[in-house]
Amino acid sequence: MIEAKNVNFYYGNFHALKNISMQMEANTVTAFIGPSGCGKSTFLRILNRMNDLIDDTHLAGECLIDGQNIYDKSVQVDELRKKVGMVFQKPNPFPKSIFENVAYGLRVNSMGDKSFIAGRVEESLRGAALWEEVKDKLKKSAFELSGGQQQRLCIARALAISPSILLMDEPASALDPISTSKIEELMYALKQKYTIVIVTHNMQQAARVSDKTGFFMLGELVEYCDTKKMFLNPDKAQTQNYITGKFG
Amino acid sequence: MKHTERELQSLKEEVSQMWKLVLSQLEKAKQSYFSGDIELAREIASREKRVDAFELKIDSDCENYIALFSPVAVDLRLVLSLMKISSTLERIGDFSEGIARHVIEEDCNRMPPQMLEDLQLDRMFDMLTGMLSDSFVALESENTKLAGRILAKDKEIDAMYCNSIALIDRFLSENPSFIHCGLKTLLLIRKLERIGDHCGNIVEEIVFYVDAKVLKHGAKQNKE
Ligand SMILES: Nc1ncnc2c1ncn2[C@@H]1O[C@H](COP(=O)(O)OP(=O)(O)OP(=O)(O)O)[C@@H](O)[C@H]1O
Ligand SMILES: [Mg+2]
Repeated sequence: MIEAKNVNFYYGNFHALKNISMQMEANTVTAFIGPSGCGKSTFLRILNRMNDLIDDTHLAGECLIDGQNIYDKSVQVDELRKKVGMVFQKPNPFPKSIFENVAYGLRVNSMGDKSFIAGRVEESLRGAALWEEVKDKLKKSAFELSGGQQQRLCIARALAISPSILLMDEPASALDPISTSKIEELMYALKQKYTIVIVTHNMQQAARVSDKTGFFMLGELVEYCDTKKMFLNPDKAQTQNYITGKFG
Repeated sequence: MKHTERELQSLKEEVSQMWKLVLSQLEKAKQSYFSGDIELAREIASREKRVDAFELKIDSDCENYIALFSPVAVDLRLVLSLMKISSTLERIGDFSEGIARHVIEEDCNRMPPQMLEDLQLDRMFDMLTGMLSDSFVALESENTKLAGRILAKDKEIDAMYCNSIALIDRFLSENPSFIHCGLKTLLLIRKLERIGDHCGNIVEEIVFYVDAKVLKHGAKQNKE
């Protein structure tokens, strides 16, 4: 379970997240929606401490995973990121072969021997709906893949180390409808084992794949509830206006 | 099968379950009417709550399905028609219960057997259960070949209803002591006629769902 308690986040003086408190249950898919710049990616990055890498930022409040504050001094960030995998908004393959991109996490964490790694790479690529397209060119550079293929490669890379939480920032924004549907089915299947948090601008996608949806605006969590409720009868007028496209 | 397809499938399955329940309500209504079995009639009346519960559940599941999955084309037509079919089934359930109440009240002497025969009540009941089960098959098999035949039966039932008004009118003018019973029988036949209309509506919904698809794919079955 993931729990945020009064999380406030600042880029310098800019107050990017305001008093966010929410819980995400294990084995569910949670979707974040909201206008561009409202803080969705920022909040997602808080969950695996990716914002630590950005200078002049400040976090107040607590963020707990399975009861432990991940910002506690005793927490090893590498271990945390093994548990909390992430797929970024922009595909960011490493300058390595397709195979090595997926195997990377396994190698740096010395997880398994050669044949284990090969099996895991195939499994992850299949999971990300990419295997058929790349199985004959695993040694080629990841940069030779199209944007949508690179995005799926990054998903495979995240899956390879079997995290228990998977954060996905717009994982399907560069994908065609067929790959999108494959990724959505993947999320649906993965929630048996993983807890998934996804940011998406595609409202239908949030509705299709998620159990709960959070609507962010200007750094605030305006509404957070069951996806069914969000899309049938949200409590807040702001939410309704946003999801029906009546803003402005 | 994708999870979105499974959702739609289970919606359809729910409507099928409701359909079977309503069909059995109607069959039992016939049985209790002809046998005067009050116990059976009570059972029908109490099972009516289950029909209502089905309608509420299907309504809310359809709403959720539309809200979450934004169906288009054939999927949209299916959800819309399932919603209407379920509320129509609920109406048929109501009328079946109405027939059962008629049996439970038992406050009128039975019409003479010859009169019941002339009114062809038996046949009307059978035509209705036939329409309801044929339309069920039409949806299950997504085949509207039977649609014309089902709708023709509805016309026939309308004609039988008109005819029964004349028959009862004549009978009552000759046997005024039967007036209460005659009116109640007419009300009962009116219920049967309404059930026929509702079966017709269901068929129209199935045609809406299935045939638009047929048109889209080259209008193979259109000649029917
Ligand atoms: N590294 C950074 N330094 C300074 N400000 C930043 C930084 N990253 C984001 N911001 C600001 O924080 C706010 C939230 O940004 P964030 O990327 O979380 O938005 P978002 O909801 O993910 O938007 P989008 O839908 O466009 O991806 C924005 O106003 C943005 O300008
Ligand atoms: Mg973002």
